[in-house]
Amino acid sequence: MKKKYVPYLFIAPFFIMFAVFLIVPLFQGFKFSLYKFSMGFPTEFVGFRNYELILSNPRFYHALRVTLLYTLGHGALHLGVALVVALILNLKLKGRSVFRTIYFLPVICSFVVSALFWRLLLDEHLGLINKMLRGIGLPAYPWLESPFLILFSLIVIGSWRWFGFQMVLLLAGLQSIPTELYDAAKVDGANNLQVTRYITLPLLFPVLFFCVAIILIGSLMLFEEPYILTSGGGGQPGGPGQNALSLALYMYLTAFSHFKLDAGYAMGVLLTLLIMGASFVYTRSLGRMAGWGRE
Amino acid sequence: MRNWELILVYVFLIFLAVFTVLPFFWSVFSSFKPMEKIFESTLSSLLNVRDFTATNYSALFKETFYPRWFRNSLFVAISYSLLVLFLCSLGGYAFAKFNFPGKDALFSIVIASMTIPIWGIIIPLFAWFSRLGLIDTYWALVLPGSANGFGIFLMRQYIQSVPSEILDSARIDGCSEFQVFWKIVFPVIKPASAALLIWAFLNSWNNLLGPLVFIRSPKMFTIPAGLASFVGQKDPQFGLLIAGGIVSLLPVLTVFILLQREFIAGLTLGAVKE
Repeated sequence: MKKKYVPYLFIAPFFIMFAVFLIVPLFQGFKFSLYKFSMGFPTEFVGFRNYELILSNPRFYHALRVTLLYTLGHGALHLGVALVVALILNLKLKGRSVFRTIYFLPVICSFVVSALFWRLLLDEHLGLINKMLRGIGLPAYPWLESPFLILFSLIVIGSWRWFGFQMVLLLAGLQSIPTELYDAAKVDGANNLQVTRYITLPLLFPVLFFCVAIILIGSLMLFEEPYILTSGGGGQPGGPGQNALSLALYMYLTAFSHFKLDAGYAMGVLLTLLIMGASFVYTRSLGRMAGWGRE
Repeated sequence: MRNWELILVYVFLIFLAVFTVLPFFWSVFSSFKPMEKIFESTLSSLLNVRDFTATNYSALFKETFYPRWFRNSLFVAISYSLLVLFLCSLGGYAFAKFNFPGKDALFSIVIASMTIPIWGIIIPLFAWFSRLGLIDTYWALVLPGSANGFGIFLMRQYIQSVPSEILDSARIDGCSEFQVFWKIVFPVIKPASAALLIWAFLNSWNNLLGPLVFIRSPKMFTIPAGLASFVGQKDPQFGLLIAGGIVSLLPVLTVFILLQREFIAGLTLGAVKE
Protein backbone atom coordinates (compact mmCIF):
# COMPACT_ATOMS: atom_id res chain seq x y z
CA MET A 1 0.00 0.00 0.00
CA LYS A 2 2.95 2.29 0.63
CA LYS A 3 3.80 4.30 -2.43
CA LYS A 4 7.40 3.97 -3.54
CA TYR A 5 8.25 7.66 -3.71
CA VAL A 6 6.96 8.45 -0.20
CA PRO A 7 10.21 7.92 1.75
CA TYR A 8 12.06 10.11 -0.73
CA LEU A 9 9.60 12.92 -0.03
CA PHE A 10 10.38 12.63 3.66
CA ILE A 11 14.14 12.71 3.23
CA ALA A 12 14.12 15.31 0.45
CA PRO A 13 14.17 18.49 2.59
CA PHE A 14 17.04 17.13 4.65
CA PHE A 15 19.11 16.03 1.69
CA ILE A 16 18.58 19.26 -0.22
CA MET A 17 19.98 21.23 2.71
CA PHE A 18 22.62 18.56 3.28
CA ALA A 19 23.85 18.82 -0.30
CA VAL A 20 23.69 22.59 -0.57
CA PHE A 21 25.22 23.51 2.77
CA LEU A 22 27.60 20.62 3.40
CA ILE A 23 28.54 18.43 0.46
CA VAL A 24 28.80 21.07 -2.27
CA PRO A 25 30.88 23.46 -0.12
CA LEU A 26 33.09 20.56 0.92
CA PHE A 27 34.00 19.75 -2.68
CA GLN A 28 34.19 23.39 -3.62
CA GLY A 29 36.67 23.86 -0.80
CA PHE A 30 38.85 21.16 -2.29
CA LYS A 31 38.55 22.60 -5.80
CA PHE A 32 39.54 26.11 -4.76
CA SER A 33 42.43 24.81 -2.67
CA LEU A 34 44.09 24.10 -6.01
CA TYR A 35 43.90 27.74 -7.14
CA LYS A 36 45.90 30.85 -6.50
CA PHE A 37 43.79 33.75 -5.22
CA SER A 38 44.17 37.45 -5.51
CA MET A 39 41.73 40.07 -4.24
CA GLY A 40 39.42 37.29 -3.13
CA PHE A 41 39.08 35.63 -6.53
CA PRO A 42 40.67 32.49 -7.96
CA THR A 43 43.07 33.54 -10.68
CA GLU A 44 45.25 30.60 -11.61
CA PHE A 45 45.19 26.83 -11.27
CA VAL A 46 48.32 25.84 -9.36
CA GLY A 47 47.70 22.17 -8.51
CA PHE A 48 49.00 21.18 -5.10
CA ARG A 49 51.25 24.22 -4.75
CA ASN A 50 49.20 25.64 -1.85
CA TYR A 51 49.63 22.39 0.04
CA GLU A 52 53.37 22.36 -0.59
CA LEU A 53 53.65 25.86 0.82
CA ILE A 54 51.75 24.96 3.97
CA LEU A 55 53.51 21.65 4.52
CA SER A 56 56.91 23.33 4.22
CA ASN A 57 55.95 26.00 6.78
CA PRO A 58 57.30 25.29 10.30
CA ARG A 59 54.40 27.29 11.75
CA PHE A 60 51.99 24.63 10.50
CA TYR A 61 53.86 21.89 12.34
CA HIS A 62 53.99 24.05 15.41
CA ALA A 63 50.20 24.46 15.29
CA LEU A 64 49.82 20.72 14.71
CA ARG A 65 51.99 20.00 17.76
CA VAL A 66 49.99 22.44 19.90
CA THR A 67 46.74 20.84 18.77
CA LEU A 68 47.95 17.29 19.40
CA LEU A 69 49.38 18.19 22.82
CA TYR A 70 46.09 19.83 23.73
CA THR A 71 44.11 16.83 22.50
CA LEU A 72 46.23 14.43 24.54
CA GLY A 73 46.40 16.52 27.70
CA HIS A 74 42.80 17.64 27.65
CA GLY A 75 41.50 14.20 26.73
CA ALA A 76 43.47 12.33 29.37
CA LEU A 77 42.81 14.85 32.14
CA HIS A 78 39.09 15.34 31.82
CA LEU A 79 38.20 11.81 30.82
CA GLY A 80 40.19 10.56 33.81
CA VAL A 81 38.43 12.92 36.20
CA ALA A 82 35.06 12.15 34.62
CA LEU A 83 35.62 8.42 35.01
CA VAL A 84 36.60 8.68 38.67
CA VAL A 85 33.64 10.94 39.43
CA ALA A 86 31.21 8.70 37.53
CA LEU A 87 32.45 5.63 39.41
CA ILE A 88 32.01 7.47 42.72
CA LEU A 89 28.58 8.88 41.92
CA ASN A 90 27.45 5.44 40.79
CA LEU A 91 27.88 4.30 44.42
CA LYS A 92 24.53 5.93 45.28
CA LEU A 93 26.03 8.32 47.81
CA LYS A 94 23.94 10.99 49.48
CA GLY A 95 23.73 14.19 47.44
CA ARG A 96 24.81 12.58 44.20
CA SER A 97 22.22 14.41 42.09
CA VAL A 98 23.40 17.75 43.52
CA PHE A 99 26.98 16.97 42.57
CA ARG A 100 25.89 15.78 39.15
CA THR A 101 24.02 19.03 38.49
CA ILE A 102 26.94 21.16 39.65
CA TYR A 103 29.49 19.30 37.54
CA PHE A 104 27.27 19.62 34.50
CA LEU A 105 26.88 23.41 34.79
CA PRO A 106 29.95 24.42 32.72
CA VAL A 107 28.66 22.41 29.76
CA ILE A 108 25.93 24.99 29.15
CA CYS A 109 28.42 27.87 29.02
CA SER A 110 29.46 29.09 25.63
CA PHE A 111 33.15 28.94 24.79
CA VAL A 112 33.22 32.70 24.90
CA VAL A 113 31.70 32.88 28.36
CA SER A 114 34.01 30.21 29.78
CA ALA A 115 37.06 31.93 28.29
CA LEU A 116 35.93 35.27 29.79
CA PHE A 117 35.29 33.75 33.20
CA TRP A 118 38.72 32.18 33.25
CA ARG A 119 40.48 35.27 32.05
CA LEU A 120 39.10 37.00 35.12
CA LEU A 121 40.58 34.25 37.30
CA LEU A 122 43.91 33.62 35.61
CA ASP A 123 45.19 37.08 34.67
CA GLU A 124 48.78 37.37 35.87
CA HIS A 125 48.53 40.65 37.79
CA LEU A 126 44.83 41.06 38.33
CA GLY A 127 43.36 37.56 38.46
CA LEU A 128 41.88 36.01 41.58
CA ILE A 129 44.02 32.86 41.50
CA ASN A 130 47.30 34.73 41.71
CA LYS A 131 45.95 37.00 44.42
CA MET A 132 44.98 33.97 46.48
CA LEU A 133 48.40 32.42 45.87
CA ARG A 134 50.13 35.59 47.03
CA GLY A 135 47.74 35.80 49.96
CA ILE A 136 49.05 32.49 51.30
CA GLY A 137 52.65 33.39 50.52
CA LEU A 138 53.13 31.47 47.29
CA PRO A 139 54.56 32.91 44.09
CA ALA A 140 52.21 34.11 41.34
CA TYR A 141 52.32 32.48 37.94
CA PRO A 142 51.81 34.01 34.47
CA TRP A 143 49.03 31.52 33.62
CA LEU A 144 48.10 33.13 30.32
CA GLU A 145 51.36 34.93 29.61
CA SER A 146 53.99 32.21 29.67
CA PRO A 147 54.52 29.94 26.66
CA PHE A 148 54.44 26.84 28.83
CA LEU A 149 51.54 27.73 31.09
CA ILE A 150 49.19 28.98 28.35
CA LEU A 151 48.77 25.46 26.97
CA PHE A 152 48.37 24.09 30.47
CA SER A 153 45.70 26.73 31.19
CA LEU A 154 43.86 25.88 27.98
CA ILE A 155 43.84 22.22 28.97
CA VAL A 156 42.47 23.01 32.43
CA ILE A 157 39.81 25.37 31.06
CA GLY A 158 38.71 22.85 28.44
CA SER A 159 38.57 20.14 31.07
CA TRP A 160 36.56 22.35 33.41
CA ARG A 161 34.03 22.85 30.66
CA TRP A 162 33.69 19.27 29.47
CA PHE A 163 34.30 16.78 32.30
CA GLY A 164 30.68 17.02 33.43
CA PHE A 165 29.55 16.04 29.96
CA GLN A 166 31.73 12.94 29.86
CA MET A 167 30.68 12.14 33.42
CA VAL A 168 27.00 12.10 32.44
CA LEU A 169 27.73 9.82 29.48
CA LEU A 170 29.75 7.46 31.66
CA LEU A 171 27.13 7.46 34.43
CA ALA A 172 24.46 6.49 31.92
CA GLY A 173 26.75 3.69 30.75
CA LEU A 174 27.41 2.51 34.30
CA GLN A 175 23.72 2.42 35.09
CA SER A 176 23.05 0.16 32.14
CA ILE A 177 25.32 -2.56 33.57
CA PRO A 178 23.09 -5.32 35.06
CA THR A 179 23.39 -5.47 38.85
CA GLU A 180 23.34 -9.30 38.82
CA LEU A 181 26.91 -9.22 37.54
CA TYR A 182 28.02 -7.29 40.61
CA ASP A 183 26.11 -9.62 42.91
CA ALA A 184 27.71 -12.65 41.27
CA ALA A 185 31.17 -11.14 41.66
CA LYS A 186 30.49 -10.35 45.32
CA VAL A 187 29.43 -13.95 45.90
CA ASP A 188 32.67 -15.10 44.33
CA GLY A 189 34.53 -12.89 46.80
CA ALA A 190 35.82 -10.15 44.51
CA ASN A 191 36.80 -6.87 46.17
CA ASN A 192 35.78 -3.40 44.95
CA LEU A 193 38.93 -2.88 42.91
CA GLN A 194 38.61 -6.25 41.20
CA VAL A 195 34.95 -5.57 40.39
CA THR A 196 35.88 -2.26 38.81
CA ARG A 197 38.78 -3.75 36.88
CA TYR A 198 37.13 -6.95 35.63
CA ILE A 199 33.44 -6.07 35.36
CA THR A 200 32.78 -2.35 35.27
CA LEU A 201 35.53 -1.13 32.94
CA PRO A 202 35.17 -3.83 30.26
CA LEU A 203 31.39 -3.35 30.15
CA LEU A 204 31.86 0.40 30.05
CA PHE A 205 34.14 0.12 27.05
CA PRO A 206 31.53 1.01 24.37
CA VAL A 207 30.70 4.26 26.17
CA LEU A 208 34.36 5.07 26.83
CA PHE A 209 34.99 4.45 23.16
CA PHE A 210 32.29 6.95 22.25
CA CYS A 211 33.66 9.53 24.72
CA VAL A 212 37.11 9.33 23.15
CA ALA A 213 35.60 9.78 19.68
CA ILE A 214 33.85 12.98 20.78
CA ILE A 215 37.00 14.24 22.48
CA LEU A 216 39.09 13.53 19.40
CA ILE A 217 36.78 15.43 17.04
CA GLY A 218 36.20 18.28 19.49
CA SER A 219 39.82 18.83 20.55
CA LEU A 220 41.25 18.78 17.05
CA MET A 221 38.91 21.69 16.26
CA LEU A 222 40.04 23.78 19.24
CA PHE A 223 39.45 27.41 18.34
CA GLU A 224 37.23 29.55 20.57
CA GLU A 225 39.18 29.49 23.83
CA PRO A 226 42.59 30.39 22.38
CA TYR A 227 40.89 32.99 20.18
CA ILE A 228 39.27 34.74 23.13
CA LEU A 229 42.15 34.26 25.56
CA THR A 230 44.88 35.55 23.29
CA SER A 231 43.26 38.33 21.29
CA GLY A 232 42.76 41.81 22.64
CA GLY A 233 44.05 43.25 25.89
CA GLY A 234 47.50 43.63 24.35
CA GLY A 235 47.80 39.92 23.67
CA GLN A 236 48.90 38.69 20.29
CA PRO A 237 46.90 36.14 18.30
CA GLY A 238 48.40 32.73 18.91
CA GLY A 239 49.43 33.61 22.45
CA PRO A 240 52.84 33.67 24.12
CA GLY A 241 55.38 31.68 22.14
CA GLN A 242 52.52 30.90 19.73
CA ASN A 243 51.69 28.07 22.10
CA ALA A 244 47.96 28.71 21.90
CA LEU A 245 48.04 28.54 18.12
CA SER A 246 45.78 25.60 17.35
CA LEU A 247 45.36 24.44 13.76
CA ALA A 248 41.88 25.92 13.58
CA LEU A 249 43.03 29.26 14.96
CA TYR A 250 45.94 29.25 12.51
CA MET A 251 43.53 28.64 9.67
CA TYR A 252 41.13 31.34 10.87
CA LEU A 253 43.94 33.90 11.13
CA THR A 254 45.30 32.95 7.72
CA ALA A 255 41.97 33.19 5.93
CA PHE A 256 40.12 35.92 7.79
CA SER A 257 42.83 38.15 9.30
CA HIS A 258 45.55 37.94 6.65
CA PHE A 259 43.05 37.22 3.84
CA LYS A 260 45.25 34.52 2.32
CA LEU A 261 42.36 32.59 0.86
CA ASP A 262 44.44 30.06 -1.10
CA ALA A 263 46.30 28.96 2.01
CA GLY A 264 43.02 29.04 3.96
CA TYR A 265 41.27 26.74 1.50
CA ALA A 266 44.13 24.26 1.57
CA MET A 267 44.27 24.33 5.37
CA GLY A 268 40.53 23.72 5.51
CA VAL A 269 41.03 20.58 3.45
CA LEU A 270 43.98 19.45 5.58
CA LEU A 271 42.03 20.01 8.79
CA THR A 272 39.05 18.10 7.39
CA LEU A 273 41.27 15.22 6.33
CA LEU A 274 42.96 15.15 9.73
CA ILE A 275 39.69 15.06 11.68
CA MET A 276 37.81 12.69 9.39
CA GLY A 277 40.91 10.52 9.06
CA ALA A 278 41.50 10.36 12.79
CA SER A 279 37.91 9.39 13.51
CA PHE A 280 37.90 6.88 10.67
CA VAL A 281 41.10 5.16 11.81
CA TYR A 282 39.92 5.26 15.40
CA THR A 283 36.49 3.75 14.73
CA ARG A 284 37.97 1.16 12.37
CA SER A 285 40.67 0.00 14.75
CA LEU A 286 38.67 -0.04 17.96
CA GLY A 287 35.05 0.12 16.78
CA ARG A 288 34.66 -3.61 16.44
CA MET A 289 35.76 -4.15 20.02
CA ALA A 290 33.16 -1.65 21.17
CA GLY A 291 30.45 -3.42 19.21
CA TRP A 292 30.00 -0.67 16.66
CA GLY A 293 28.76 -1.52 13.23
CA ARG A 294 26.86 -4.49 14.64
CA GLU A 295 23.73 -2.53 15.56
CA MET B 1 32.90 1.69 52.57
CA ARG B 2 34.84 2.58 55.69
CA ASN B 3 34.31 5.95 57.33
CA TRP B 4 37.61 7.51 56.38
CA GLU B 5 37.15 6.38 52.80
CA LEU B 6 33.76 8.07 52.73
CA ILE B 7 35.25 11.29 54.10
CA LEU B 8 38.01 11.20 51.50
CA VAL B 9 35.49 10.70 48.71
CA TYR B 10 33.38 13.64 49.89
CA VAL B 11 36.43 15.88 50.22
CA PHE B 12 37.27 15.08 46.61
CA LEU B 13 33.72 15.70 45.40
CA ILE B 14 33.43 18.99 47.27
CA PHE B 15 36.83 20.18 46.08
CA LEU B 16 35.78 19.45 42.50
CA ALA B 17 32.44 21.20 43.04
CA VAL B 18 34.21 24.32 44.32
CA PHE B 19 36.54 24.23 41.32
CA THR B 20 33.50 23.92 39.04
CA VAL B 21 31.49 26.72 40.61
CA LEU B 22 34.32 29.17 41.31
CA PRO B 23 34.41 30.78 37.84
CA PHE B 24 30.62 31.31 37.91
CA PHE B 25 30.63 32.65 41.42
CA TRP B 26 33.60 34.91 40.89
CA SER B 27 32.21 36.32 37.65
CA VAL B 28 28.80 37.09 39.13
CA PHE B 29 30.56 38.67 42.10
CA SER B 30 32.84 40.77 39.89
CA SER B 31 30.03 41.84 37.60
CA PHE B 32 28.51 43.84 40.46
CA LYS B 33 31.75 45.69 41.06
CA PRO B 34 32.30 49.18 39.63
CA MET B 35 34.34 48.89 36.45
CA GLU B 36 37.56 50.29 37.96
CA LYS B 37 37.38 48.07 41.02
CA ILE B 38 37.10 44.66 39.32
CA PHE B 39 40.83 44.21 39.59
CA GLU B 40 41.63 45.55 43.06
CA SER B 41 45.19 45.04 44.17
CA THR B 42 44.56 43.33 47.47
CA LEU B 43 42.35 40.41 48.26
CA SER B 44 40.51 42.15 51.07
CA SER B 45 39.47 45.18 49.04
CA LEU B 46 38.57 42.84 46.23
CA LEU B 47 36.21 40.94 48.48
CA ASN B 48 34.65 44.11 49.85
CA VAL B 49 30.96 44.07 48.98
CA ARG B 50 30.06 47.58 50.11
CA ASP B 51 30.72 49.06 46.68
CA PHE B 52 28.34 46.69 44.88
CA THR B 53 26.53 48.37 42.00
CA ALA B 54 24.57 47.44 38.90
CA THR B 55 26.30 49.97 36.65
CA ASN B 56 27.83 47.26 34.46
CA TYR B 57 24.40 45.88 33.71
CA SER B 58 22.77 49.24 33.06
CA ALA B 59 25.67 50.29 30.82
CA LEU B 60 25.41 46.97 29.00
CA PHE B 61 21.77 47.59 28.12
CA LYS B 62 21.96 51.34 27.54
CA GLU B 63 25.33 51.97 25.93
CA THR B 64 25.93 48.90 23.78
CA PHE B 65 24.05 46.89 21.16
CA TYR B 66 23.60 44.11 23.72
CA PRO B 67 19.77 44.13 23.71
CA ARG B 68 19.87 43.83 19.94
CA TRP B 69 22.47 41.01 20.13
CA PHE B 70 20.26 39.22 22.59
CA ARG B 71 17.27 39.42 20.24
CA ASN B 72 19.46 38.31 17.31
CA SER B 73 20.74 35.33 19.26
CA LEU B 74 17.24 34.37 20.34
CA PHE B 75 15.78 34.66 16.84
CA VAL B 76 18.64 32.75 15.21
CA ALA B 77 18.72 29.98 17.82
CA ILE B 78 14.94 29.44 17.73
CA SER B 79 14.78 29.43 13.92
CA TYR B 80 17.77 27.13 13.70
CA SER B 81 16.44 24.58 16.17
CA LEU B 82 12.98 24.50 14.57
CA LEU B 83 14.57 23.97 11.16
CA VAL B 84 16.76 21.16 12.53
CA LEU B 85 13.72 19.51 14.08
CA PHE B 86 11.74 19.79 10.84
CA LEU B 87 14.49 18.33 8.63
CA CYS B 88 15.65 15.63 11.02
CA SER B 89 12.29 14.34 12.24
CA LEU B 90 11.03 13.85 8.67
CA GLY B 91 14.31 12.29 7.57
CA GLY B 92 14.68 10.17 10.70
CA TYR B 93 11.13 8.86 10.19
CA ALA B 94 11.92 7.73 6.65
CA PHE B 95 15.11 5.99 7.79
CA ALA B 96 13.34 4.29 10.69
CA LYS B 97 10.11 3.11 9.09
CA PHE B 98 10.60 2.73 5.34
CA ASN B 99 12.66 0.50 3.11
CA PHE B 100 13.81 2.10 -0.08
CA PRO B 101 16.64 1.65 -2.57
CA GLY B 102 19.75 3.56 -1.48
CA LYS B 103 18.66 3.74 2.16
CA ASP B 104 21.75 2.16 3.68
CA ALA B 105 24.16 4.12 1.49
CA LEU B 106 22.43 7.43 2.28
CA PHE B 107 22.38 6.65 5.98
CA SER B 108 26.10 5.84 6.05
CA ILE B 109 26.84 9.10 4.27
CA VAL B 110 24.81 11.02 6.85
CA ILE B 111 26.59 9.27 9.73
CA ALA B 112 30.02 9.86 8.18
CA SER B 113 29.11 13.53 7.72
CA MET B 114 29.09 13.95 11.50
CA THR B 115 32.90 14.00 11.40
CA ILE B 116 33.10 16.77 8.78
CA PRO B 117 34.41 19.79 10.68
CA ILE B 118 32.94 23.22 10.08
CA TRP B 119 36.47 24.24 9.06
CA GLY B 120 36.17 22.26 5.85
CA ILE B 121 33.25 24.33 4.61
CA ILE B 122 33.54 27.72 6.28
CA ILE B 123 35.56 29.47 3.54
CA PRO B 124 33.48 28.14 0.61
CA LEU B 125 30.32 29.17 2.47
CA PHE B 126 31.80 32.59 3.14
CA ALA B 127 32.71 33.10 -0.53
CA TRP B 128 29.31 31.93 -1.60
CA PHE B 129 27.35 34.04 0.89
CA SER B 130 29.39 37.08 -0.14
CA ARG B 131 28.43 36.57 -3.75
CA LEU B 132 24.74 36.07 -2.95
CA GLY B 133 24.60 39.05 -0.59
CA LEU B 134 23.83 36.84 2.40
CA ILE B 135 26.59 38.29 4.56
CA ASP B 136 25.04 40.22 7.45
CA THR B 137 21.75 38.35 7.22
CA TYR B 138 20.09 35.86 9.54
CA TRP B 139 20.07 33.33 6.69
CA ALA B 140 23.84 32.94 6.97
CA LEU B 141 23.46 32.00 10.63
CA VAL B 142 20.41 29.74 10.41
CA LEU B 143 20.96 27.63 7.30
CA PRO B 144 24.49 26.12 7.65
CA GLY B 145 24.52 23.03 9.84
CA SER B 146 20.74 22.63 9.83
CA ALA B 147 20.94 19.33 7.93
CA ASN B 148 22.55 17.61 10.83
CA GLY B 149 23.74 13.99 10.96
CA PHE B 150 23.35 13.76 14.71
CA GLY B 151 19.73 14.88 14.45
CA ILE B 152 18.91 12.18 11.91
CA PHE B 153 20.64 9.56 14.04
CA LEU B 154 18.79 10.64 17.19
CA MET B 155 15.35 10.78 15.57
CA ARG B 156 15.82 7.47 13.78
CA GLN B 157 16.83 5.72 17.01
CA TYR B 158 13.77 7.04 18.77
CA ILE B 159 11.23 6.48 15.97
CA GLN B 160 12.39 2.88 15.58
CA SER B 161 10.82 2.20 18.98
CA VAL B 162 7.37 3.31 17.72
CA PRO B 163 5.43 0.11 16.80
CA SER B 164 4.84 -0.14 13.04
CA GLU B 165 1.37 -1.65 13.64
CA ILE B 166 0.02 1.72 14.82
CA LEU B 167 1.22 3.34 11.61
CA ASP B 168 -0.32 0.62 9.47
CA SER B 169 -3.68 0.80 11.18
CA ALA B 170 -3.69 4.57 10.68
CA ARG B 171 -3.05 3.97 6.98
CA ILE B 172 -5.94 1.51 6.84
CA ASP B 173 -8.15 4.14 8.47
CA GLY B 174 -7.37 6.38 5.51
CA CYS B 175 -4.60 8.65 6.79
CA SER B 176 -2.31 10.04 4.12
CA GLU B 177 1.42 9.40 4.56
CA PHE B 178 1.99 12.88 5.89
CA GLN B 179 -0.98 12.58 8.26
CA VAL B 180 0.54 9.36 9.61
CA PHE B 181 3.69 11.28 10.43
CA TRP B 182 1.99 14.38 11.78
CA LYS B 183 -0.86 12.80 13.75
CA ILE B 184 0.71 9.52 14.92
CA VAL B 185 4.51 9.70 14.91
CA PHE B 186 5.17 13.31 15.83
CA PRO B 187 3.12 13.31 19.07
CA VAL B 188 4.81 10.09 20.25
CA ILE B 189 8.37 11.31 19.75
CA LYS B 190 8.01 14.47 21.84
CA PRO B 191 10.81 13.53 24.28
CA ALA B 192 13.29 13.09 21.43
CA SER B 193 12.05 16.29 19.80
CA ALA B 194 12.54 18.19 23.04
CA ALA B 195 16.05 16.78 23.38
CA LEU B 196 16.93 17.69 19.81
CA LEU B 197 15.47 21.21 20.15
CA ILE B 198 17.49 21.85 23.30
CA TRP B 199 20.66 20.47 21.75
CA ALA B 200 20.26 22.58 18.60
CA PHE B 201 19.31 25.71 20.52
CA LEU B 202 22.39 25.44 22.72
CA ASN B 203 24.68 24.89 19.72
CA SER B 204 23.34 27.92 17.94
CA TRP B 205 23.20 30.10 21.05
CA ASN B 206 26.86 29.38 21.79
CA ASN B 207 28.11 29.50 18.21
CA LEU B 208 30.99 31.92 17.76
CA LEU B 209 32.58 31.07 14.43
CA GLY B 210 29.46 31.51 12.27
CA PRO B 211 28.69 35.12 13.26
CA LEU B 212 32.41 35.94 13.41
CA VAL B 213 32.80 35.05 9.74
CA PHE B 214 29.38 35.79 8.25
CA ILE B 215 28.48 39.00 10.09
CA ARG B 216 30.11 42.38 9.49
CA SER B 217 27.94 45.05 11.08
CA PRO B 218 27.92 45.17 14.89
CA LYS B 219 24.13 45.44 14.94
CA MET B 220 23.75 41.97 13.44
CA PHE B 221 26.10 40.20 15.88
CA THR B 222 24.86 37.48 18.15
CA ILE B 223 25.94 37.56 21.79
CA PRO B 224 29.15 35.46 21.43
CA ALA B 225 30.37 37.50 18.46
CA GLY B 226 29.41 40.75 20.16
CA LEU B 227 31.32 39.85 23.30
CA ALA B 228 34.28 38.68 21.21
CA SER B 229 34.33 42.07 19.48
CA PHE B 230 34.61 43.70 22.91
CA VAL B 231 37.54 41.45 23.79
CA GLY B 232 39.32 42.50 20.62
CA GLN B 233 39.39 46.15 21.68
CA LYS B 234 42.57 47.77 22.97
CA ASP B 235 41.33 48.12 26.50
CA PRO B 236 38.62 45.53 27.02
CA GLN B 237 35.97 46.60 29.51
CA PHE B 238 35.78 43.55 31.67
CA GLY B 239 32.83 44.73 33.70
CA LEU B 240 30.66 44.92 30.60
CA LEU B 241 32.03 41.69 29.18
CA ILE B 242 31.38 39.65 32.28
CA ALA B 243 27.91 41.13 32.76
CA GLY B 244 27.15 40.30 29.12
CA GLY B 245 28.37 36.76 29.60
CA ILE B 246 26.22 36.27 32.67
CA VAL B 247 23.07 37.64 31.04
CA SER B 248 23.66 35.31 28.09
CA LEU B 249 23.71 32.36 30.50
CA LEU B 250 20.32 33.17 32.01
CA PRO B 251 18.02 31.71 29.30
CA VAL B 252 20.07 28.53 29.04
CA LEU B 253 20.31 28.22 32.80
CA THR B 254 16.54 28.61 33.14
CA VAL B 255 15.88 25.86 30.62
CA PHE B 256 18.51 23.71 32.30
CA ILE B 257 16.95 24.06 35.72
CA LEU B 258 13.37 23.54 34.50
CA LEU B 259 14.08 20.67 32.10
CA GLN B 260 17.23 19.13 33.50
CA ARG B 261 16.28 15.60 32.50
CA GLU B 262 15.46 16.47 28.86
CA PHE B 263 18.47 18.73 28.76
CA ILE B 264 20.95 16.05 29.74
CA ALA B 265 19.17 13.52 27.56
CA GLY B 266 19.45 15.92 24.63
CA LEU B 267 23.18 16.15 24.99
CA THR B 268 23.84 12.51 25.71
CA LEU B 269 21.23 10.63 23.68
CA GLY B 270 22.72 8.55 20.97
CA ALA B 271 25.83 7.94 23.00
CA VAL B 272 24.34 5.27 25.20
CA LYS B 273 22.03 2.77 23.61
CA GLU B 274 19.05 2.13 25.83
